[in-house]
Amino acid sequence: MNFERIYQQHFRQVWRFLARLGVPERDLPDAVQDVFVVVHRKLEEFEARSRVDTWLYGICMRVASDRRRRASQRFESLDHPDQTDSDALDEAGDERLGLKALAQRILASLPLEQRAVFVCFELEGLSSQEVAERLSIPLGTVHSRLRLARAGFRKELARLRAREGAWLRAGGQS
Amino acid sequence: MRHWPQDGASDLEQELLELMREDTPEPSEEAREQVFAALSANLGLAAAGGSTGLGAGAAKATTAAKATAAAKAAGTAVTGTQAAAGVGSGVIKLALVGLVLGGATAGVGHFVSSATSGSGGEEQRSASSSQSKSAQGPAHQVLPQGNAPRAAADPELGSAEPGRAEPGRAEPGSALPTATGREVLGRDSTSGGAAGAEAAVTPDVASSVARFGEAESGSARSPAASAASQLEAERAALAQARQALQSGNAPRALGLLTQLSQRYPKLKLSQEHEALSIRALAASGARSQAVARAQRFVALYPNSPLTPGVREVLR
Repeated sequence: MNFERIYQQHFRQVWRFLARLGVPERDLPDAVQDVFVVVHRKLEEFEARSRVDTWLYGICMRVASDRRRRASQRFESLDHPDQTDSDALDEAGDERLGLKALAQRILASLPLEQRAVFVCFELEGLSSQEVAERLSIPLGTVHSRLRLARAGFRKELARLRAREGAWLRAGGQS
Repeated sequence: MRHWPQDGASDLEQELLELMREDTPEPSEEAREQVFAALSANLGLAAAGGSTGLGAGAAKATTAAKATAAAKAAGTAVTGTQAAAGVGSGVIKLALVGLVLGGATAGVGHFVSSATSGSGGEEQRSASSSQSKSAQGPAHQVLPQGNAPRAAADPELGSAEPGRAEPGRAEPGSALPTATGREVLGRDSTSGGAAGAEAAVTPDVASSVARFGEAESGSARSPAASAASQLEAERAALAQARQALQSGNAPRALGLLTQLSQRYPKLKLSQEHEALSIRALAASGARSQAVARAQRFVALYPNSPLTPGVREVLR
């Protein structure tokens, strides 16, 4: 198992997964580096006991979780919905831009474990079995987290629609 | 279980899903190379990307001696942190900070951030985050682009006098791309250990730094190759400076750092350079300068993985 090869083969995957877990674009190089520092340190212990991408996803989860926790300790937002600039939505002339911001705010409201399952299943298009393997969790857990994530997504969307109904009626509602 | 669009998602929910699918940022090749260069600096990997094409420009500029020196300097520190470190990323950062204080250029990703994030990201922060924004933002926005734009983007740096940052001044602090940072050192450099340290810069120091950048001197280089070459030169110079510091030769470390910042007024590894400079200043006896710059560093970069190590100077 060669570190450089792992890096080359999985860099993009790690980058994208961290982004989808809510690591801001500006912090992605740092976060990716965090992941591969662990890879480098643990490579000898890894010994292919699981798939490389499963291993990497696990590290990504810890890195993203740690960043989220530290951001919250600093009263700083990664992309938390209640701390984003709602004016960006109100003033967004571009409807798609506004909807993207809305989507990010909703995603950010989900607990990380639910978000990871939601991202893998709904955005990456993996099957629930693949998600279970990728995240190294039981299939039943995938389903339950997915249900919770969808419910949370829907609830947050409803909350934001109620709060910013004017904007949604003006352009955000399909 | 079926995917949501086939399982009861509303039109709006489906539209949002579609937008999210489209919205995931793709990393650039530059990001790939620069993160790897940062990793190689941190972990002491030999010749960045030499076997795979990663950081090809950097690899070309790397000699075996430089790679060995970097690996020796950084690798030792990594080993040291491995024993104590867990998996969590808090620990990773500690490990990285340990690398810097122990010798390696931790947190190199911070410089990389700005170079690779492209747009600078969707700044979705609340007013409550303004403190961290002002502190962290600049490092991610313009660091690799050089001192001048960074100073303009940083509220604190904006108050500095542009004319104070003369590129020719031999100051290890020039890596912190601010006039203020230079001023701190410049003001004190007439007395104390730093002045003596700088005076102790030997010709071999100058020539070794010059060698680091020799690959860049070709006029026909592309901007990308030149940037990679600079990154590699900085990485190698920092590794040498770190090694000098570890071996107790703080004046040589300061000399190398000074030469490096003179050669590249717009350092890509500016945070690492500054953190190392602070440590070298402290080790050379220039405590007041080290403390002043450490305080400034901490204020500017409270979230940097290098900050805990810099704080050590304040104790």
